[in-house]
Amino acid sequence: MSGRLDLTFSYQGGPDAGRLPVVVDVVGASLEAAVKPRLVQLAKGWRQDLEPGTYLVRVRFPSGEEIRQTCTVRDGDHIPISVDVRGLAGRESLERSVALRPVEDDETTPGTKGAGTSFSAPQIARDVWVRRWRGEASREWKQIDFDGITASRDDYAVRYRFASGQQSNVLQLGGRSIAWRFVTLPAAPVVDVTVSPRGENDLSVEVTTDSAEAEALLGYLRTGAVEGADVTAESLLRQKRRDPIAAAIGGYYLLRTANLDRLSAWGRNLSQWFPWLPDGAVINGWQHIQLGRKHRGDPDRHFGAARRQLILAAQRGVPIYTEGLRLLVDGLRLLREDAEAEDAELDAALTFIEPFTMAADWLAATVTYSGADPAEPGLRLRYGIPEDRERLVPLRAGPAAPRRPRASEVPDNDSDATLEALYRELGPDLVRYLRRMLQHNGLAEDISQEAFLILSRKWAEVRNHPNPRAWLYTVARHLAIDTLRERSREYLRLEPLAQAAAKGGDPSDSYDIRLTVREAIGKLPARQREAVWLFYFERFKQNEIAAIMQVQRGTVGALLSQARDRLAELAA
Amino acid sequence: MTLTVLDSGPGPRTHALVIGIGGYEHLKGGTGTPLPKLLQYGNLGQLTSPPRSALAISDALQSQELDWQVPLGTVDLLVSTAPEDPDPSGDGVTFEPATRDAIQTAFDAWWDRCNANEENVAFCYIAGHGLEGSYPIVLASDFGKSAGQPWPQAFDVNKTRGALTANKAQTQVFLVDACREVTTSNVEVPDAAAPPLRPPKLRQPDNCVYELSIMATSRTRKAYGKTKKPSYFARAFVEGLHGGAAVKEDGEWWITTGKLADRFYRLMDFVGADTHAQRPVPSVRRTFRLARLRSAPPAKLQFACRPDEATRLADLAWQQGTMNPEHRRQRSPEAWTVDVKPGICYVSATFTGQEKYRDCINQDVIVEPPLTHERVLVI
Repeated sequence: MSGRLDLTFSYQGGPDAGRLPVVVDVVGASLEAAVKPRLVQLAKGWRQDLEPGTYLVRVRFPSGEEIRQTCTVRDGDHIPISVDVRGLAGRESLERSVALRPVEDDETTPGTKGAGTSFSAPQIARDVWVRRWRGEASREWKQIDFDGITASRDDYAVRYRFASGQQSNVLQLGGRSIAWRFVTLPAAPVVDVTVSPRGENDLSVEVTTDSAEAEALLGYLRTGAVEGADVTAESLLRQKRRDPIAAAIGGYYLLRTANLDRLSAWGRNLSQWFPWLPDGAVINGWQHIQLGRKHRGDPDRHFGAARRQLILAAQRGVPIYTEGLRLLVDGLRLLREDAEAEDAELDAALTFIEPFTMAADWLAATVTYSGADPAEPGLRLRYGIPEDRERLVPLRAGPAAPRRPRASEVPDNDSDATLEALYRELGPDLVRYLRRMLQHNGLAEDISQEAFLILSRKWAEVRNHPNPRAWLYTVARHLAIDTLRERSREYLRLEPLAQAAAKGGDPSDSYDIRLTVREAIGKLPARQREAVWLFYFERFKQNEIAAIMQVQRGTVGALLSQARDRLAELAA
Repeated sequence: MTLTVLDSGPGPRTHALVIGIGGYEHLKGGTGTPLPKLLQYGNLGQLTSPPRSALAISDALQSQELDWQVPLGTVDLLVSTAPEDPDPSGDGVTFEPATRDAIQTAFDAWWDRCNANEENVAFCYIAGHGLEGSYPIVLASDFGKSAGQPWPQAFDVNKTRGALTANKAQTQVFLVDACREVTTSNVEVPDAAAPPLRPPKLRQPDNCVYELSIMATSRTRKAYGKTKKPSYFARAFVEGLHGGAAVKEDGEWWITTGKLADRFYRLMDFVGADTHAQRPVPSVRRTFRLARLRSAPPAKLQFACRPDEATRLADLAWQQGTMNPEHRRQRSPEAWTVDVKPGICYVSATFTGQEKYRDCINQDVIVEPPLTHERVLVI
């Protein structure tokens, strides 16, 4: 006999967040490994048969966060574990990048974990501009339009979604107080760029591809999570043909861990199959250096191949990833020091790449550098608006999805004051509604507060909702249902005797004919009770109740009708 | 240089080089001629933490609790004390200043010791002022001796690490506990001519099989330590050696390079570091069992109620094994932190006369070193 561990995740952020891979492992009560680490996508969860016993489940996020939970598996048990990842990011718009990467703290505003400062506060919101460049043949760059680029924004982030295909793209950003910079975009089908304020006069720019596993590997590498990185790299190995960018990230990892056996022909293939990707040649070049140093085959042949590959990489352009830029210049310098004679090709490669290393932001995941032009990196920081204003797009006013009109009842001024007013206005009614639903005072208050907390987090979005009150009730209802489910599971697991005792007596035995209306409502089935409460006490319209309860409008009418009939019976 | 020879017998040994640079003769507060244009170098001054960190690391390596898989052979301690903390060990020991020349001499001698046997473990810890140009640089205690050419009294950490793979010691641990801020001087001269302690070569052999490298902080960031205390990084590493990075395998507790890297974030948190401001950067090449713990490592359990406000109304209790006594405490709104053995703990929260919460909630918790947090759901 064995029980089953059923790991599910609750998260926000839509399909993007659902594809986030996390590393899960399980240890037994002796603290020895019960299940080896494995990669699990949030949306898919994970099931594992285990011998009866107590286990510790560890969930490791690429950002370095870890969630641990003890559970007990009994014969034939089916133990769901729900892990809430919503707390990892302060804002939904930043959630995926925050879960993927270690948090960059904003030193000027402590405690803004993952949330960043608001665009609405700093001056930078007003004058930041962006511009796209595309790499042409012969390392030349051309400005291109933002046509077809989707953008979303709230007070905390602006997010662009690019489809770079197989061409080099850079995004240029600058402003009155923002130094110009060029951010390399991976040549991938989907590239998300999230721009958020960092303090009063700087921006944080996160670039992620749609390869959640590759991005997770970058996160694990940053936080030293060896097991996480190992498991993720293994997964990337299996998909290298269809996703060379992800494969390149896996290649950098294998180079760093000197895992030459697993790298095998991968480096050569990356270099040969994808000539538009300088990173492939960098990886292959360093693979040869490591093989030469390990004396696997003829060292001279390997060092010769390394020279050819690294020169080839520089001819192809600047690597996409910062790791590649570092390896390229390090490798070229080692080769140059080793060369006994003049080597014009090596010198040309170094002359091309060294200015990028001087101007590089080594903290960025993709190559990011200062300068006046994508082909001219420079140490000198530039501010303001370029003389050539062609194709400049204001960051906050660029192409965007149309905004919904603001709800008239929600004033568009200070957010905190508005939320506070909403809390005062709606809080007591919401608690009453939840109390009726849950039959528990404390729970109702807790869930009401949690609902308001979610409202405050998502305020940038909800403030434009046509009916924030209905939105709030919907969220509260979901929380309440979750809590009821959780409670019932806990109750069944931990208090079977109490439950049996409760079944022994029927509350209707003590029914008192002199019911108040409210007591009579309390005797209704749950769904009827809820519909009646929302209609008569909360004054919602039937279509609003339908939205909150997630049923058809006609169902609401039926529930109300059945409730009236039942109330009439009770009053008779 | 203070070389402690612990085991000079035949066979492979672990050789440690531990450097803590706190006194800087030519920086602010130093006893020598101040370096001109100090502001360009970040207006750097004296440090009291690195000597204490080096001593803490040295002591931890020699802990009786550790049974090194490759026996500890030597510990070479190089410490440069700050004027305001001249006796960091507290026993009147004087140390030779960690000048660039002294560091080079110590490094070369350590290199040779490590190079003597391929099964040796090479352990290097360096703490002091650090700067970041294109690569991280650590300043020796005589940095600024030559006002016009200060960089020769510093060394390139990255290249030194790159060269180390040529050493025959197959297991290499390399720890750098220094800031990585970019100063004006580094912006003007990103490739500062700070020579590595040994230059890497293209054709050098790569003998490293097991590697653990940890930079105390990420690029452009500071590394922190309290005045006259070991740094957060050093404390985290020591905590790791004490069992915070222990993993139980085949019935024994092992400190491994993989777990040290894997848990370093948590260890930094555990010792109170702000890991958002100071983010360590570990790097690992295969994992290696460094030492076996002679007894189970200490662990802490911190538990409270969920929701938080229930904690103050609850009678909390914990117990390990049914034969052991149950421990209770006075009611308090704070979470309760207790010292336990790693493994299963039985915790409970009891409410008397509180209709808001269930009467009594019991729960098993598996406690891992160094610290496990648990919030008991009471609704």
